Amino acid sequence: MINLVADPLTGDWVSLADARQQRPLTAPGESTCPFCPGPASEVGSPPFHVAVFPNRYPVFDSPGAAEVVVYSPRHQDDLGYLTPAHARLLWEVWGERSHALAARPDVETVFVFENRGRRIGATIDHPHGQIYGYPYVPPRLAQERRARHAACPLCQVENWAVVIAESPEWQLVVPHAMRMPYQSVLVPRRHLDGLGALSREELANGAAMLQQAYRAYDHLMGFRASLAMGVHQAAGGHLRLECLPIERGQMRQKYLAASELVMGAFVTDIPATVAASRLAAAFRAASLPSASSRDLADLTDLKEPES
Amino acid sequence: MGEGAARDTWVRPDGRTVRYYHLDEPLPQKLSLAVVTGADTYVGRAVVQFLHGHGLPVAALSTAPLPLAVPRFVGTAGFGPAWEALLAAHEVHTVYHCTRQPAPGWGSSPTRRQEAEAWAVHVADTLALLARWDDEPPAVVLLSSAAVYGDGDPALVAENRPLAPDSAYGHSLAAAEALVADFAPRHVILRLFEVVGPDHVGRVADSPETPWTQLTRGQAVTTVPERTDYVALDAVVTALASAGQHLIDGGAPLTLNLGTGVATDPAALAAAFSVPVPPTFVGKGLVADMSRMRSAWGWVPPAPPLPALARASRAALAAEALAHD
Repeated sequence: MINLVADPLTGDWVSLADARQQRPLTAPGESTCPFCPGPASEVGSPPFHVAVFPNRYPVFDSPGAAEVVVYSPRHQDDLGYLTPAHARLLWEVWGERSHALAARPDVETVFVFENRGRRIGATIDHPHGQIYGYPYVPPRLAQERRARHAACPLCQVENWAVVIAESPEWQLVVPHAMRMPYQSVLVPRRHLDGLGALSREELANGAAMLQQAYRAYDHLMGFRASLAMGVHQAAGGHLRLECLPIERGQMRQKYLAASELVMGAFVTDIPATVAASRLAAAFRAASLPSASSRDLADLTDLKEPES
Repeated sequence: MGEGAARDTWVRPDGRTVRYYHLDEPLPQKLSLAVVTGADTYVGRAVVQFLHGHGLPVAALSTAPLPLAVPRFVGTAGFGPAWEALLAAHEVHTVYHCTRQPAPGWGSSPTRRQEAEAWAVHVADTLALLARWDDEPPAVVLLSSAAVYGDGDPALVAENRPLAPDSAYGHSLAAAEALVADFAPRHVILRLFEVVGPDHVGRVADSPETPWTQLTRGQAVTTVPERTDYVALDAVVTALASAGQHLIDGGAPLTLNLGTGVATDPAALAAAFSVPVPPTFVGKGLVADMSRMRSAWGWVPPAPPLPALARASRAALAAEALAHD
C-alpha cells in the first residue's frame, strides 16, 4: 500500500510505502542476491549487460513509477569500472527509460539515481540504480523553480562552482556551496534538459567522465566511496549529474544531523576550493580503470584543518 | 541504442516486464592478483614486497600508508568498501591473510578491551573476508600462531597435537583457523612459533620495543618471555609464498607449524650481543616440529637466527631505536 501524504506546513509530499519493510537485505557474499541471474532472480536467467524492471517494493506505483536498473550481471562490478561501451549503454538505457516514464500522465518528474554502497543505504550490493517517476514536483526542484534565476547559473558554471575537469562537452565542478564534502556535479556545456537530448559525443564523453569521477572518489578514499548520484532532468532546466559522497576523509563519515535533517541547513567543514583541489588530483590519477587502485590516498593530504 | 546494442523482454510470472539490453562484446576478464591483508604489519609488508619483487600482481589492504608501489586499498581485512573497490577492477586468486595486531600494548596480561579486539581482528575480520565471495573464495594462506596450542610441555609440537589455547589471542586465532578451514576449501594455515625477525637490519616484529632495541639502548629487557626465539623474516615470507604456490598448483589444504624448530639458547643470545640476558628472558618452551613442513614442500627451516642477528649492524639497530623515539 502506497500513500502520498502532504505536509501542510511546507507543502512537501511524503511517500508512505510500508511494503518496503519486506524488501530483502543481502549481506556481502550471501547467495540470495536477487539481482544475480538465476531462476529465482528478479532478472531471470537470460544474458544481459543492463536490465530494467519495475521495483518489487516500489516507492511509487501509479500514480508514479519505480524501476530498478541492474548495471551488470556480475555481482562485484561497479559503474566506475565498466567498459566504456557498457557505460554508454547504461546512459542510453537511462535516457530511454526517462523518456518512457516522462510520457506517462501520472509521472511529474523522472529521477535517475544510484545509492552506491551499503553505508549510504543500498540494501543490495549488486551494482544497480533506480528510476523514480515522482507523481509530483520534488521539494528541491520546486525550490529551484521558485528561485527564478534571470539566467541559468549552470550556463555560467564558473560563477557557481570550481571547475575540476572539463572536456569540449562537459564540466565537472565542485559547487562553492557544496552540501556534502567532496560533492561534485557533472554539467553539460549545452543547456539541455534531459539525457535524451544528448548527442552521441556528449553521451559518450559524459559517461566516461562520470565513471572517472566514481573512480576518483575511490582513489581519494582508498576504498569504494559510498555516495548518492542523481540526475537532474526537468523541462526547461539544465541537465546535471550530482555526486554526494558521505565520506569526509579516510574512514571518516559525514553524518546528516540535526541542522541538516531538522532545518535542511547543511554544514560542511572543508572549503570547496580544498575539496576541488583534492578531487581534481584524484580525477587525473583515475584516468584509466587499470589505475583505479593506485594508492592516491597516500599522496593526498586528507587531514582536516585544525579547528 | 548505440551500435551493437540489442534488447529483448521477459514478462515475469508476477506480470512485471524485465527489459534486457546487451552488447556484442562479452564482459571483460579482470586482472587476477594476490591480496595481502594486514599489509602494514611487519610480515604483511614483507610479503607484499616479496611478491611484487618477483613480478607477481599483488594488492595490499592496510590502514596505514605503505612505501610500496603496489595498489593499496585502505581498510582492514573485514572492511567491505575496501574489498568492493578491489573486486570492481580485479579478480583475486590468493589472499595472504596477515592479521593485524589486535591492539597496542598486547602482552602477557591483556585487558578485556584488548581481548575483545583480538576476537574482532581474528574472527570478525576473517569471517567478513571469507563472506565476500558467493561461491568458493580464493585460496587463503592464514598466518596463525602457536598460541592455539597454549602453554605446554617444552617439547616438539607436531600439528596433530590437540589445540588448547589459554588466551583470548589463542582462542580467537583457533576460531579463525576453523573459519578458514570451513569456508575456504583451498587453504594453508601456518602456525608461527616464534617472533618474526630479524630482517636485514635486525628489526624484530612490529614493535620497536623489542629486546634488540632495548639492548642497543643499554636498557633492561622488559619484553615478554616468549621473545627468546626468533624466526627470520625471510623464512616466514618464503614459507607464506610457497604456501600460495602450493595452492595455485592444486595442492591439498594443509595446517603446518612454522618456526626454527630449535629453541634459542639464552647463553648464545647473550654472547651474540655481548650483554647479559636477564633470567626472565626465557622462552615458553614450545618448539615447532618442522618435519611436516619439510615433507609438504621441501621448505627448510632456517638455522637459529642468532648469527644473522649478530651480523646485523649495531649502528643500524641503534638508528632504528632512535627513529622510534
